[in-house]
Formats: sequence, structure tokens, C-alpha cells
Amino acid sequence: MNVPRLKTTLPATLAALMALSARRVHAEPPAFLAEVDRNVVSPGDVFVYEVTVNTSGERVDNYHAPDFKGLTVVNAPRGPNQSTQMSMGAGGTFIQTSYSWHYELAAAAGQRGVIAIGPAHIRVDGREMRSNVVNVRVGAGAAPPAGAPGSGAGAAPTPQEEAPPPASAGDSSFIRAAPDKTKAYVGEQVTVTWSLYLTQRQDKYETITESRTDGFWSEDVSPPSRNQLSLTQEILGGRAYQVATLFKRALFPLQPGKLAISPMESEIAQVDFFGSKVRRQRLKTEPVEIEAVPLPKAGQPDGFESTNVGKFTIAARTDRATIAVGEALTLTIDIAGQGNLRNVRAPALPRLDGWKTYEPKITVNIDPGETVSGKKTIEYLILPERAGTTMFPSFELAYFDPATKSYAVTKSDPLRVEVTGGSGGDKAVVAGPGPHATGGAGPVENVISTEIRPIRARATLNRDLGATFYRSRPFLGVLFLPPLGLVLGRFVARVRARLAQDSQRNRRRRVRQMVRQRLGAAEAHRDSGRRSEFYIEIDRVVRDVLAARLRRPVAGLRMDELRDLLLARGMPADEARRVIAELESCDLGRFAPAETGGTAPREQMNAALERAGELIVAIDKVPLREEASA
Amino acid sequence: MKRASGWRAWFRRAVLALALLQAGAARADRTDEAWRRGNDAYLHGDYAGAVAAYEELDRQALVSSDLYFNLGDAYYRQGNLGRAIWSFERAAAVDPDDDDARYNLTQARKIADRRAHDKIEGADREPFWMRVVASLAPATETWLFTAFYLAFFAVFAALWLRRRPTAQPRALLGASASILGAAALLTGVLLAGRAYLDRVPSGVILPDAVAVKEGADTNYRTSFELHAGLRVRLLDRDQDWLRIRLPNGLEGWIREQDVGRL
Repeated sequence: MNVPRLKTTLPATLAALMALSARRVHAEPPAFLAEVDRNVVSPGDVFVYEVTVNTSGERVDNYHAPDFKGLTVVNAPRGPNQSTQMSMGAGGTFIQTSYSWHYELAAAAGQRGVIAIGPAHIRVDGREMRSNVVNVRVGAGAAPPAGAPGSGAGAAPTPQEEAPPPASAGDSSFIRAAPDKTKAYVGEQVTVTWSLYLTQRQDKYETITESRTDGFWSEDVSPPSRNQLSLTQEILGGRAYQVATLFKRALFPLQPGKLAISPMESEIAQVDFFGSKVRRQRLKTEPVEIEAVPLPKAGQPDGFESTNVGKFTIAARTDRATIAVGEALTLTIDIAGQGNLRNVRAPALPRLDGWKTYEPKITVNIDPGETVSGKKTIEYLILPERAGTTMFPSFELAYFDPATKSYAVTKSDPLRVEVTGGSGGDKAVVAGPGPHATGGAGPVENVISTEIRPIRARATLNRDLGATFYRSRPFLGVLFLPPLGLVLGRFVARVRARLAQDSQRNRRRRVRQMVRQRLGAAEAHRDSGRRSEFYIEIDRVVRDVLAARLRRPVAGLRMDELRDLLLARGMPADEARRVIAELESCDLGRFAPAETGGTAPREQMNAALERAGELIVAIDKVPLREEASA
Repeated sequence: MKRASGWRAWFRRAVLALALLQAGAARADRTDEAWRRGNDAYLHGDYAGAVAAYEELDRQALVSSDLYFNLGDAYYRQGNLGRAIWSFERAAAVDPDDDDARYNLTQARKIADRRAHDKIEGADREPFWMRVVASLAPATETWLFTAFYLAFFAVFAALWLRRRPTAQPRALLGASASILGAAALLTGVLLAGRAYLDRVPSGVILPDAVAVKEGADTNYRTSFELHAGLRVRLLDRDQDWLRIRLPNGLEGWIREQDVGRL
């Protein structure tokens, strides 16, 4: 156990010791705590919320205020309030730094209910920390019960009792385990106190080995403190000690014989300026032995359980006296008193004819204090299956009282419960293993009550795929594919239209290329004097150009058929005549080259070439109708 | 050569697909076997066996209102009311129209309240939109949205991509697209609400009683105590601790194992 702070509780006459103890012994992990000055406020009331971190030199940064959940921040700090405590002594110098943020808050006019403030965040030496959540109730009302939300840091330490002098009190510091008795009955409480006795200031305390308490049932009555340790002044053997109670335990012997509590080992040390331990001291308690005496046989009642040692009372109650068939009744057995309540065995619930019982719910509430006391509650949930009157007999608890060294029996009052709405009429049922007193012979009403609806015993398991489909990847496909498909479809349509336009352009480009090739070939024939081939080439180029414009072949057509076609497709008559004349001229040039006039053949071919060029341009420009509309 | 390697690749794919199909079928067989085992145990009064079989299925992350319902019944018969309520809540969440699950949930809550009732003072009612979203089954919301959404795009595509629609079909398609678009938007909003609710998860307290701490450690002070079956919002997680919020805004930390996530 590490002790962050040693706080004196003695009067001012022990000023030197107070000065000694008021300082921090050791900065074990930095505490980051939030507190409010009150837990219940009215709307408009200003209250204080303060969050504090205590460090021993660690770097503090990245503070984030908590979420105030709609509370009005009347006053917010610009930065943390910082306080530093520095102590110098024989063990060196120790510095403790506290950073606190102080807020004044108020609830708005219409704000009511419980408001959870927090957590605030901070980074201490790179380690993220968050404060506790503080709950504040807004609205008129009494202060919250103990342990209610909003309570600040740890509870105040219990007052230190004066311990008997230790067996080995010397001049130096020591620790001691002191039982309040060394002889006890099996099951009787023995309270053991572990205390630290200091002869001079110490900065650090650490438990090395815990005491083992084999053979005992152990209950913490004053658990080890994680935050603070109170010191008191005691004079032992004429020497002043500062005494701190480390923890107290209630031990209940589980078996007769000599039971040992093994020594506890711990270390105390002072800390120098750099936080290093100096003047370490190992401390060890003396072994403690408890003699456990068996319980007396004389006067032991029937049904006594050896775990029932202490002083107890038993009470039984039901949450209602009248109930309908199918409804649930809670039968509660309370065992209150002093002793090892957790191990007390309650009387078993007798067989309840006509009742369905469930496993009980057991709760144990231990009251604070050195003597283990409190209440054990056993709650049975029972359901009547038919109508009638049920008498629950007394529940008996036999126990051994170590104070009087005698056995005693405590009993609860019998209970009567009327069950209505089912069969049985005035039939009376007495719970328990004995014979059932029944009576009455009224008409039988068969009430079939519904508890829960039965399971679905299908052969295969139905799955609800749709319940999670919207969180799956395929659903993303459903979400994004349609718009993508639409955009893609639109894109494809545009590309296709563009391609269609391009094919018309390409066709024209191909025709121009063909014309160039053919006319080039014709020129070659002309230059070589191959007249017949020349005119064949001219004829072919004119017909191919026509075919491209008309988008149909014209090679096999007679002249009159071609003329009719051209006129039908909207070519002006003059142009059609020119075309026919040129084709006839080509025929003439191919078949009767010598009789084509008086000019030289080369010049004739030049003229034909020129005419063909002009004709091709004219054919390309002339508007023609589509075949279908023609 | 290329052709041969192509055939080999296709063959491999076909074998893989066949193996996957076979594995899927085998898993379905195991699922049904565990389901029948659970039902059989329950009907013979072996509620522990039933719970074990149903939990085995639950661990496979199967979403089934039938499974949650039967699991709830088995927990109920064991007297484990916290888990029973949790299971019935899950069944009702998957299928809000499941009358059996709602009935059993009410019964289990009634009995849990008789053991210990957490009276939450100043609790706010859930916003209207949350109640609307939660009143419909997730599957219904999903399928309705999917149907309207796909139909809207189909009609819209017909309208948009067609080159020269005549006036009458165009008006008809336009009206259909508008109606389907509005329906898809409405169901889409519901589904978005459901997705939002998923991001702010809730849970059910499982043990009979659980101490709620001020911080994520057992050493913090106990703020208050909660009992089995209470629904809480899950806000934050710190290792195996969860920060919870009650309907009245009260917050605290409990262990993750003490909450059944919905």
C-alpha cells in the first residue's frame, strides 16, 4: 500500500509532528478528482465544480473541461490555480504541485433532473487521465443519501482507537497486528488491527507481503486506504509514536484449533530531493495465533448449522396477502444481527404444493462498524398455480451466541396468502412436508394461466437477413450502382452518338481518299498513254462517288436507270445530265478512242480529268434525299 | 498454350465455388442441428442445455428473432431474468411486430420489477423520430427502401435514356418517378435514422443487481445500483468498462460483462 499523504489529526500542541505529517510522503499515481460543493441545487443556484490534479513534478498539459450538459458556466477559470508545497528535512526536499480548475455553474430555469458532469480530461507526463463523473440533481429536494451520486473523494477515516502496547516496542518504527482477543469460538468474530508506529517522519510506506489468514473467513471492516492515512499521537513505553491504522479485518475461525495469522512485511523510507528512496527500513509484524474453540455440544438445537454464530433475528414477509393465479409473489426472509452474515445459512423454503418456486435472490448488506452486523435478505419468487389459501409456517433459525455462550432459536411469524382466480375454492394449503389440510368441495374451475409463450420448435432456424442487410457491403452496391448505371448509360449513349457522327465524317474522308487515289491512277494511265484504263478509272471514280452519296451501289445500272435514280433522289436535272454525259464520255473514250474528235488524246484526257474533278465536287455538294424518303 | 491455362483457371474457380457452396451447406446443417438440439433440450426441461445450444448459435452472429425468442424463454425458465429480458428485447428489435416476444418481454419485466424496480426519476421520453424508427422492423425498412430506390432508378432511367418518348408515356413515367422518389426518400430517412441509432448503442442490465461506479475502476465510489432488465445507453468504453447513461441523464461506469448489447 502506498500512502500519498500523511495527515495529522492531533491538536496544535503537536505542531512539530503536524508539520512533519502535513506533507506528502510519496506521489503515487497522480489523482485527478472532480468535486462539487453540493449535489442538490435549485434552478438558478450557483454552485462550485472543481477538478484537481495532484502531481509530484510530472508535466501536466492538454486539459479539457468536462461537458457541463447545458449548465450555465457563470465563472470559468482562465487557467489552473497552481499551488506548490515544498518540504525540507533530513530526508531531502519534496515538492508537491496541485493544479485546480474552479468553475461556478448554475442550472437554467427549466432544467430539472440529474445532470452528470464529466469527465474532464488531462495529460500527465503523456498519460491520459480522466476525472470521475459527478452527478448533480437539479430541483427542490433533500440531500442525496450516503453513497449517492456526486459525493466527492474518499470517505473520512474512522477514528483511531488506542491500541494496546506492542509486545516488541523498541526505539524504532514498527508495525503490529493486534487481535481484540486470542481465544474465540469457531465462527465468532475476532477483529485484528494492523497499525504502523513511526518514531520519525517517513515519506513512503509500501506493503511487501500481506498477512495470510488461512483457516479464517475474512471481512474487511476498515479496508486499506488508497489515498490518505491519518496519524495520531500515542505514548508507548514513555516514547511518542505517530500511529496510523493501516486496516482492520474481522476474522471468523472456520475450524477449531490454533490458527495462525502470518506476519505482514512492509517497507518505509524517506525520499530525497530527486524522489529517490533513502533510509529504507523493513518492518514485519509479529506472528499472531488465535485459539479457535469448538462450539459446545450441550444444548445444541435440532437443525443447527455450525455457521450460524452470532446474534440474529429472523423475519418473513410477502409483498401481498392476496394474489391471483399466474401472478408472482415475493416471499422475503430477513436475517438481521451480528455475526458472519455472509455465511449464515437460512432455513430452506419448504415444499410448496401448488406453487412454483424460483431460485432465491440473496443480498447481504453489512453495516459499517468494527463489529460485523447487517442484514441478509433471501427473496423467493413464487407463483401460485391454483386458487386457495396457503399458510406459510414460521421460519426458524438456530444460532450460537458467543456473548452468552448459549444456543438460541429465533422464529418468524407465520404468513397467510390468499390465491384467487383458480381452482380449489376454499381449499387451504399448508406449505411444508407435512400433510396438507384441504377442505371445501366447490365446483372446479380450471384456470389455465399464461406465463410465457412457448418456444418456436421449427425444424430449421429462420434468419432475418434484412435486419442487418443495410449494414452490409452488398447494400452499398444497391445504393451506389443505380446512379452509377444511370450516369454510365448516359455516357454510353453520348459516345455512341458521337461515334455515329464520326462515321459520317469518316465516310467522307474515305471517299476523298478514294477519289485522290483513283484520279492519281488516272493521271498515271494518262501519262503512260493507256487511254482505255484511264477512262475506266474516271468512270469508276464517278460511280463510286455517286454510290457514296446515294448510299447504294450504282455499278450495274444502265444510264437511263441512273438518271432516273438521281432525279428521284433530288439531284437537279442539269447536274444529272452532266453526270450521265460524263459517264457516256468515258464509255466513248474507252471503246472508240480514235473517233473522239480532232484533238490529241492526251489533251482529251486532261479535259476529261478536269471535268471529272469538277463533277465530283458538284456531286459532293448537291443535296440528296435519303432513299426511304425518296 | 494460353487457351489451356485459361481453362485451368476456369476449372480452379469452378472447384473453389463448389467448395464454398459445400462449406455453406455444411454450416447450414450444423446451424440447424444446434437449433434442433436446443429446442429438444428445452422441451425436455433441460434449460441449461437449451441455453448452451442457443448461445452456440448466437456466437455465430446469426440474426434471428426466433433464436432470440427461444433463448429468452430458456433464460426465463432458468430464472435468469436479466438475460431473458435482453433476449426478448433483441427479438422485438429485429421484429417489432412479434407479439410473442413482446408478451414474454412484458411478463419477464413484470417479474423482474417484483424483485427490484428501478424508478428513474425525471426520465425523458425518447424523441418522436426514435420511436417511429424503432416501431418498424429493420428488415421492413431495408426492403422497402431497396424496392422504392431501385424502382425509382428504373423508371428514371427509362425516362432519361429514351430518345424520343411520346408525350403521354413521358408524363406517366415522370409521375411514377416522382412518387417512387418520394417513397425512397422517406424510407431512406427512416433507414438513416436506424443507422444513427446503431451508432448510439443501448443495452440491458444482466445481473440481478449491479453497482454503478463513478469511474472505470472498482476502486471508484459507487454512484447508484441498477437491477436486471433496465435499458441503458452505452456511451463510452474504457478497457472492459462501459460508460452508461440512464433515461434521466444519470451516468456511471459498469463492467462490460454486466450489459447485454442490443
